[in-house]
Amino acid sequence: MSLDTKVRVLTPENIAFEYEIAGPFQRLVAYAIDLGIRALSLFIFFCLYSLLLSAFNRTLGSALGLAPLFVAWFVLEWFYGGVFETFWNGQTPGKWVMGLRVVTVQGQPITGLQAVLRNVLRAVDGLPSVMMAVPTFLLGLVVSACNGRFQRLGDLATGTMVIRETRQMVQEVQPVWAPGLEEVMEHLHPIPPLEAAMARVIAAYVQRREQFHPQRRWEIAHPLAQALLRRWHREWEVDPDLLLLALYQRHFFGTPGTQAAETASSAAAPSWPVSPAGV
Amino acid sequence: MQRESTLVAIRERGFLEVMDLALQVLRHCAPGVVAWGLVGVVPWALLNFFLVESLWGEDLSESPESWSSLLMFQLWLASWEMPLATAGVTLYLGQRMFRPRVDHRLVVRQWCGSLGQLLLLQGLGRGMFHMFCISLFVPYWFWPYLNEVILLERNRLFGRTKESNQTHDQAPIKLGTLNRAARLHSQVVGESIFRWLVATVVGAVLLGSWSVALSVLVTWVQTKTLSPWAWMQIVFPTATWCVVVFFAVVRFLSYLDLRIRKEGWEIELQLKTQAARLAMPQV
Repeated sequence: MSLDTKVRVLTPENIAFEYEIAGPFQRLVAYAIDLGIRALSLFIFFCLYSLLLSAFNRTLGSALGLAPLFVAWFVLEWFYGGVFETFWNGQTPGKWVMGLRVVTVQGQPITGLQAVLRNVLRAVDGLPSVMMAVPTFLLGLVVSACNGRFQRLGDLATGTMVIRETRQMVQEVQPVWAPGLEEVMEHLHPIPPLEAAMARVIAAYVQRREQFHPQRRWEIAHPLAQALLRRWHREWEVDPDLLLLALYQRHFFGTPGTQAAETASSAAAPSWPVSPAGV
Repeated sequence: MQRESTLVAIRERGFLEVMDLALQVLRHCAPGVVAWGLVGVVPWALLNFFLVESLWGEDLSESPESWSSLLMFQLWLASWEMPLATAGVTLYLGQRMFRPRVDHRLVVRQWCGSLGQLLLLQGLGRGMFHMFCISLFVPYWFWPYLNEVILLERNRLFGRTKESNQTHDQAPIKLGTLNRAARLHSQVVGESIFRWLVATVVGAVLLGSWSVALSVLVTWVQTKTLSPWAWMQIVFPTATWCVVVFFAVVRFLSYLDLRIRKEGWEIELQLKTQAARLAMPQV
């Protein structure tokens, strides 16, 4: 089994969901954004508080002094993440920007208790810290590197994990043309139609082939073209790239000049979701 | 190459995801990466130790300005030595990517075979670049995956790119290291700079975090404050080389990701799987 940042969660109904797990480095960016928002909030609070004090002819050194600022810092430090993750369904503004979400290890939404607890335990993940104030997050990094779900101690204690919400792209099948394509397609007449899996793989190649150098196209297409020719018992010197193009065109659009133009313009052209894994 | 037998799943990834995956690779291949990391790093770390030690005895240790210049000097040395120090890790991962068991003697042979190009291109060539660049890691803007091309492709330095006389059934002519590196890095300059920026920022964060964490841990164990000498000569270089080895894994995976996207490995594996299925006898 190859290493990947994906986990499969099986529901009690025996339905499998695949989640892309967010590791420490994706979460670091979200954390930095949240840290910026917290610092900005504290700065705005400081400005408003200073204005309020000056309106009453007081200074920071007077009666209440810095106490409200410390209270604001305390609330932001300990409850910012917990409150947001409770009411925003497992997201903070930083996580929202990065497309991350906290869910339980069963793939369910987290509860308020889980949200608050995992954020409170961040202090432990931040160890060793300098004078208990500046966290280095070495413990959190080591713990999350040691398990497949990238769970830090706060996640392990509350049974949560951070996932990345992936957007699936639907790519429409487009007709193709290349010099000599019609000639190759004419030779395909006695050949049986492609199986769905084979057609899907060839379509994936055709959609990406423009990005490859012609030599590279030859390298990629050659093994399958040779295997197909052997299966068809055909002795045919044909450009492997052109052969796959012809098979693709015939499978999805029939012969050129007949259905191709109609199907290309049709909104009902066959399409399928292309996952990041391309599977 | 079988789709299921590779160390990491073949698919396209973003750079942050690549860094996360590097942690999984480190966990999975920790003994090999640590062993080859130590083999590559220790000679250079010792060399740097004695170089800094020779400077330490002078007035440099007196003021904070001299400490920062010593730190920068160590970083400058490490960034120059990085490609040579991490060659073993790259070769180990190159084998481990497609085989469950690594032939360590083959790693040594491949390392010796690539030494000429490594010294010429990474030692001398990039070294010259290094001398005249203001910033430490700026040379890695340019052909960041040259080390991987030298070590994993193992081409001759110069190749031929002639494409004429190639029939449909003829394998293409093999490229040289320089052609292959130029072709690999073309059209990804912007992305390389972006990845370099992210790597530099994350590397700086990791270096700061790990060196401070190591200092705190050593202080806890010793129950006394670290001396500036111990911090400069032991803690900081240890953290630096840990970051360098981690980024060797990241660079290897990032190189694979670039190959996957640019050369369509994912597609190639899918097509090869279909070809293998066709080659099986029909029932």
